[in-house]
Amino acid sequence: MKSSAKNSFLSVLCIGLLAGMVACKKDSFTPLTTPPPGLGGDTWAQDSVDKFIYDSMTVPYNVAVYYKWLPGQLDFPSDITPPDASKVIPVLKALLNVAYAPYNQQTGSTVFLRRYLPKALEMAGSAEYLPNGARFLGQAEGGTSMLLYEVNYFSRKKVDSNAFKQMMHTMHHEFGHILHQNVLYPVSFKTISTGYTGNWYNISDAEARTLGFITSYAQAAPDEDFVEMISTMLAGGEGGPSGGYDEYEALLTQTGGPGTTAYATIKQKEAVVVDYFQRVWNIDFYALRAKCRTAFVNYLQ
Amino acid sequence: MKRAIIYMAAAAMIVNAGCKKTYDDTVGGKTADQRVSEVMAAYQKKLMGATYGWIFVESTTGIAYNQGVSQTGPSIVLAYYMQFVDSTKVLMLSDFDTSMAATPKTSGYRVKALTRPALIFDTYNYLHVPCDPDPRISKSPFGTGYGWGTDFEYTFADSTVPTDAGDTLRLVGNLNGAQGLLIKATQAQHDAYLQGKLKDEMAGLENINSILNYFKRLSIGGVNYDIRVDVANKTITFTWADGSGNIQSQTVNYYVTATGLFFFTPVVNGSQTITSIENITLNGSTVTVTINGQQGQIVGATTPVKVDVGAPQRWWTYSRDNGYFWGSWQGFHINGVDDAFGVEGVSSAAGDFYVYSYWANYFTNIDLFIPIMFSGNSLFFNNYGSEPRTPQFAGGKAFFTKLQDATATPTPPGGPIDQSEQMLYNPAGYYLIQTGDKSYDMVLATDAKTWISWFWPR
Repeated sequence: MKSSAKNSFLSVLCIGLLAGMVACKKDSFTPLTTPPPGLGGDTWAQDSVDKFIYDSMTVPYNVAVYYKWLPGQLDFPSDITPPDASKVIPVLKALLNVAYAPYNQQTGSTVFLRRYLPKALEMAGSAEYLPNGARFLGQAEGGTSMLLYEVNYFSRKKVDSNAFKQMMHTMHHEFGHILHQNVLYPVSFKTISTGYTGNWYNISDAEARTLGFITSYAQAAPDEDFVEMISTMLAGGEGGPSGGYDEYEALLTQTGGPGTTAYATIKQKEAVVVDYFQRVWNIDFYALRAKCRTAFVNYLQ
Repeated sequence: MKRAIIYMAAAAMIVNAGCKKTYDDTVGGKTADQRVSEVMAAYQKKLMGATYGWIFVESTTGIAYNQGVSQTGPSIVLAYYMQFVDSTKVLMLSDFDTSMAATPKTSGYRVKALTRPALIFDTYNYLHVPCDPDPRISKSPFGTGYGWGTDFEYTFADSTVPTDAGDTLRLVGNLNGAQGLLIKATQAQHDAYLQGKLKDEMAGLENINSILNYFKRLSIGGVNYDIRVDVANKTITFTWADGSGNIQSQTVNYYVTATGLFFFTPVVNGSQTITSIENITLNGSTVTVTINGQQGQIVGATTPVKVDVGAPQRWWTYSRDNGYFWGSWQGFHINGVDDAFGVEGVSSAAGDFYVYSYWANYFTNIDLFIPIMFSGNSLFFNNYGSEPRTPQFAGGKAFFTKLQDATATPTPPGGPIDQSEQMLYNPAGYYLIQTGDKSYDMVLATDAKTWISWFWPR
């Protein structure tokens, strides 16, 4: 065989031609008349809950509320239960009145929240329990979604105000994450305290305060510290001198009071938070806090 | 060149074969998506098409999952009545608790294509209560973060198409693998449920436990059984003497519907098979029942249907050999009253009452019957208690006698601990009834209206 590159080239070309011809041939093509099942999300007959969500959350704030169990939407495989549908509207009303309204009053319109509120609000009826004994009460994911647990425990009654405060605390905590995920707080905040630890859940809130952290969870990481400062100043915190939820000032007494390092540390963090809100978001934090407290007290029954 | 042509031809054939569509990826001319959509619609239609609703019987595997970590515990069987009222709403009743037995609750559901077609109960209803990770709500013995191992998101597990599935649909839970059977209800069942009969049946069940004697003697067709109903775990235990006179015992899960009490697995005693108890009615101190169409009755008894002769020795030896104690949360139950002496309220210099302990052979030939107290974050022996001698075992009973006080501090006379000690040393002695692998009930032999339950704390 008189081998030649030309022949090889020719044969490759032929194969290419043949392959092209055969592969492209399509005997029949049936276009889809209906989309694949579930593509684009589920739809269902809208009831009063869905209507409330649309009118009160979606239209004014451009927020979608997911309250029906969607497999895989929450952490899998965890034992989490969906909310009781009868709790959805009361929780949303509380959010609107106690968490959102003060921001609107302070900024003068719904524009700020409409822009920065995460576009998805997910709800779970129970908490999510971790193997270490801690439990999730809320989560924020990259500025896009906010997850609120323990919706089934909601009550407006004064006697249950601890649970209510905890929920508001969670909301302000998660919204705090959203804010710093948009514009980060000054990096120097991260060095105000040392001693961040993954074992925060072994430390009581009261003990954390003697170490310069407003709650034990604040000791988990600087991000958590920052948003715990926000949420505790706006909604109070757990494990206070009364044994339950207490306002920020009352919690500060557990540091040992003015003159202690712990007190000074927390005050330093407070100053950063207030400055951050003023410079980044043009919000007077103390005025916002006053509005939050008024809204909360007025909402309890 | 010739070889090159052969290569070319071969390659062309391969390519040709690879690209030619010799098969049809549709079934009956329908694509996978079309078939999935059809199956979904068929399941939806099936669920809504049951005029009288469904009875849903769910059984667990004894394993509960959270965060990918599993816990083992008791299995449970639950029964629900369900009506799929439209494409998104379901109403239900549950036998989990009497508060869920009479008032139907409505919530959401949907049929959705997951890996396999799935039935999801997507907002909270009675069905979610036993799944709730908060043990204050679910009363689950699996610990915080775990329910009972029940589910609310299921896969349709039949291998037939829904239209051929008949009156029963099989479901398997997606998180815990609980097994479910959806069975079409009859008009009679539907009516009974909506008239609140489920609650009546559950109340009837509690009539059995209103008999004050520990031994509840069921007579049916000339055969006698001792039955023990555990409402919290939804189990019922039958104990009897078989043809050779040997003691037999079987514990089964039960569930309650509007028409009676049903066993998930039958109790089999020779030729007698018991699968349900119906018409549980209290007449004075006697409970009448219907079993297998026969009238039977349950009355209190003072002695076991068959004495477990070896039980007292087994109970005592287990503590001695394992070098640890039997515990009791509440001390003695007397005449229908739990913790009749009020030991749970006892405080002493050692702390607050935590658990009553019986420790066999704590010192050589000396036992210990003493409360364990809670103080700070630690447990301590109480600063007073009693030291029994090694018990005497005779006729299937244990007899306790006092050797001395456990400490220099005498037990305060007349108080809950003193009363408990007096009770222990009752000369009538105690029957020991084994209630589990590591649990016993100790029943006073006089009238069987006094007993103490022992669990193994390890």
